[in-house]
Amino acid sequence: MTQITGEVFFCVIITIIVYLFCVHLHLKFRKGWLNPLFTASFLLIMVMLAFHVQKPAYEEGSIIFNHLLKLSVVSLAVPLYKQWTFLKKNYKKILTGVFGGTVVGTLSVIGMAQLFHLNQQLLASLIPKSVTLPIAITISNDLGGLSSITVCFVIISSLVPLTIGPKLFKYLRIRSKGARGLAMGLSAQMLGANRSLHWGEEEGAMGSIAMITSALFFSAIMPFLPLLLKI
Amino acid sequence: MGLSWILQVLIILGFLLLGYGIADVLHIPLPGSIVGMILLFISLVTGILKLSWIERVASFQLKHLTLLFIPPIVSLFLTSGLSDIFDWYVLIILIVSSIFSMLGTAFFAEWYEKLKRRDHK
Repeated sequence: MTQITGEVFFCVIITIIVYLFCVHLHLKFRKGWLNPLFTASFLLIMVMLAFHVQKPAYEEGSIIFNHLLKLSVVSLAVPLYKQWTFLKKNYKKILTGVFGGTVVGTLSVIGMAQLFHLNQQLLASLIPKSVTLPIAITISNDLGGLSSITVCFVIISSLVPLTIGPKLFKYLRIRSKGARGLAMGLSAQMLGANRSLHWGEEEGAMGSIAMITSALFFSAIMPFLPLLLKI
Repeated sequence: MGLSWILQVLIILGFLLLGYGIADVLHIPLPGSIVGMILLFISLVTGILKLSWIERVASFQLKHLTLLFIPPIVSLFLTSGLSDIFDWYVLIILIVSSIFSMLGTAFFAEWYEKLKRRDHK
């Protein structure tokens, strides 16, 4: 028993240490590919394999992070509040963009799932992928899904707009600040909102608003999705 | 001045628990954490709660949000049978649908802006 608790404790501490080390590395060299999300995950996987830590022990250790994540979802109210006046001024544009994007995105997932004859369970874990990570994990947890798969889906689908989005906007002549910010925030969430901040303040604000409102919108329609899928 | 960070954490924790409680009692089909977030947001807008009371802890949490995503990724890689999940068509769906939702958002937002401009003329 003591050995298991020791292992769990080791997992929690080593995760934090590796993360802090990678943040330090990222700040020092300021390279995009040194994003702590990738470097810390990679290093930790190496450490866990080296120490032969089994998955159950690590998962038990990560429960604490899961609880912290729920607290962070509550904290998302703060950035939303800070942009409240901006949000009130532009709410029609934001709602149009977020609604349109969510519908188009979800329909494309459902359509392709039909095409490839995906099973219901996989489809259910694919659908929340375009929601910002903390909320996607919460939704997936509440539905009894595998949060680790959801994380991977969310990250892969946010890397796509991040890498080709800016070029695609140029190619398609999408120049509107609002449209670019909203699109990045909705499709690439936190990473996208961060990227749209590089374009300017309006794009950045739009990016984080799109991220939060699309997540709220999604969690509101989530309970009704099973009904929709049956049709 | 802001409150001490322990009090700030307790306030946020209180909203989380309140969110779970309300979602449970009223049978709201939303995750409790989201209900808590909405409640916190309403309290901030109505002025029941001052931003400075929770700002330090909330900003700290959001700044280090990345840390919380690392454990699920690590757990995923410690699982065997990863290839069962990642068939090529899953990757295609992920890539194509994220392009669709990005361009969908951009086109709808631009379309709205065009409509508005035409109304002004």
